[in-house]
Amino acid sequence: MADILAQIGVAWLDPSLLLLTALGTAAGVYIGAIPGLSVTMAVSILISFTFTWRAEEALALIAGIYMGGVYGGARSAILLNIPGGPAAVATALDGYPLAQRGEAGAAIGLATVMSVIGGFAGILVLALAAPWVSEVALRFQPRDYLLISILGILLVASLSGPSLAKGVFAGALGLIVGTVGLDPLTAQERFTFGVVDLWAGISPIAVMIGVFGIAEALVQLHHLDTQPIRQKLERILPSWRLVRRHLPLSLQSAGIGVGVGALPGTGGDIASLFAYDHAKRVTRNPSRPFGQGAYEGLVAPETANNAAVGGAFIPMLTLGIPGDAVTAVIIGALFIQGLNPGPMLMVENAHVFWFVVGSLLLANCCVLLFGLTGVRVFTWLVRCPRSVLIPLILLLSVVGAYAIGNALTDVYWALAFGLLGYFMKMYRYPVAPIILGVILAPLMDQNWRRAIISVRDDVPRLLADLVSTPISFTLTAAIVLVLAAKLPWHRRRHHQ
Amino acid sequence: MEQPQSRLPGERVFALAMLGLALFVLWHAYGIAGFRSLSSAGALPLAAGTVMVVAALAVVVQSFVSKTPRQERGFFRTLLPGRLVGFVVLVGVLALVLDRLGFLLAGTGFLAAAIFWLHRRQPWHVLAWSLLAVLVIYVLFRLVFEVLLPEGIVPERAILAWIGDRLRDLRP
Repeated sequence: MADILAQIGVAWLDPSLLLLTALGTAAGVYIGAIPGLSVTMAVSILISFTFTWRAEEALALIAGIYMGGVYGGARSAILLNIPGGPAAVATALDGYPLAQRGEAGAAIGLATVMSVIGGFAGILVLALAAPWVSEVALRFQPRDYLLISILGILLVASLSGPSLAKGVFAGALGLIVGTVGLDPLTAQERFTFGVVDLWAGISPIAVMIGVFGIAEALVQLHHLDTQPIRQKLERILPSWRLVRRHLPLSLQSAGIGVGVGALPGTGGDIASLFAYDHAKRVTRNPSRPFGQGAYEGLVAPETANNAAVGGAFIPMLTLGIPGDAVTAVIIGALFIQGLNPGPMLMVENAHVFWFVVGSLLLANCCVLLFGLTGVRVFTWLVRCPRSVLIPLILLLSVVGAYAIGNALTDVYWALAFGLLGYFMKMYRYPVAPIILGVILAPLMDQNWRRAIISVRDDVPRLLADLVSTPISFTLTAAIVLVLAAKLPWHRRRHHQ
Repeated sequence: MEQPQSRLPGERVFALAMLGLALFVLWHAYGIAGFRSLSSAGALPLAAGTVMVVAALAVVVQSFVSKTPRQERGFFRTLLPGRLVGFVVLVGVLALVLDRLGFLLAGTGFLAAAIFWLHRRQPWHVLAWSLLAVLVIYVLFRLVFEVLLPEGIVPERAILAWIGDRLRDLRP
């Protein structure tokens, strides 16, 4: 126990790490709040600058940006009716009507406190559940890793857009990109077309910068003329009575947030929508009708999306499976730092896990600090025109891609994926499954081959094994259920 | 991003292009190891390629069966307006000259050109802000976080050493 506390304390007691977490959180709050900038975009671009750092330094900054960014989205949702990111979509439903009623300050204050409560709940569950999950994960067979990877891609493909086919296509495209290069087992060339530069594969970070940074900046060029709305901000510290009144709903929403966040492929966006729906069903006497400025409609999604952060770290650190798009990007950074997220992380590098817990705790405290202060800076920043922001994002994307390996090849890849990502976004293909596919391709490749070799290429035996243990059976059943839920006859029945 | 309700121009062509890409991928995946073994280097690419083809086919069918009306505005106005094409060219030029000119010059030039084009302010005003932004990025990433940025033709090290010497001279 003393060891664990000491490892958690590293994040708090080392001044440079403390500063990096605080800096990351402050940056995250503002990046998340500025419409057009997203946490995923920020983490993708900034990760390329952390390659030369110590793992702890990179993790401290990323933990701060992630925690701050998820919260930051609420500010622009409340003030401008433009969610800073997908996780804040539900927040805008009641947050903006509250601002229109002249209660913007109270709404921001309440959202901050609830986000912090949700964040603490998520971190608590991460600290308690991750060691247990990682012990269970040690019993995972290669086929289970294969199944959980398929489930992750399928979930993100089915939930991130209206068309399952487009999501599945994007996920499979990511898998193909992830297999480019020399096969690690046989050194056979895959999709290299005789180009030696491709032997080492395509950097996942370049792909991320392309689809999340460059593509998003290009899409934002269509929204240059959107004028920000100005809101009056008064006192933002919420009263204890208001917080206490909504505490039960906040705790329920935190549970939903952690649960949904811990599912591979899902994140704060889905968690917040689930929590909003839950709040509508369980609140008998809302402060105002939902959609017209109900505090309950603000409390539920804001608690859930920050609780999902801790939840998303559970599958990432214990199974090596990203919980959402941001953790998919973080997994790429961990690999580059020489850390292998998965059940062995808790055995070989337990200090890294507890350091992440410590950094998230610190970042959550910083959210409270930065969330309840700096309103003037914030109002100035959100007025920063997109015509200035977009060139800055593009410059940082190009320099970030260059910093991966000090070579222009990665810049060209980022640009190519940026253009592809732009058209995919415009034609409503989700791009998050691409990243998940790129990250999971080596894991799936390795485990498929282990699984099929263990049954000596006997496919019927492998299929029988898929339902032979409780873990495999549960995962197979989950995949079947996700697919069945998207079948046309099921959707028709649901609509009726 | 706001999701348009109507079908965008070029949507069917893009769906067909994605199907073409999927078929190309499948063909190449087959070329890795064929159907030799289920545990070969080509097994996952072949499976992923097959999934891509099936999904791309489903998207093509969906786009042709769908009765949503096509958006009135043309392909170039909706998807590739001049502003976007110009920006892509500008980013391409930045990527090309970044190594040769270095981050400071290429970055300032890019920011000034891009912001002037989009923001339409006084040129000297835009240039000053661009230079300031590039210097902030440089100080933060190159000097504080020690990230290698392309040096190009600007003798950065000599300038930094000169500033260092002057600062040392100023110390009592």
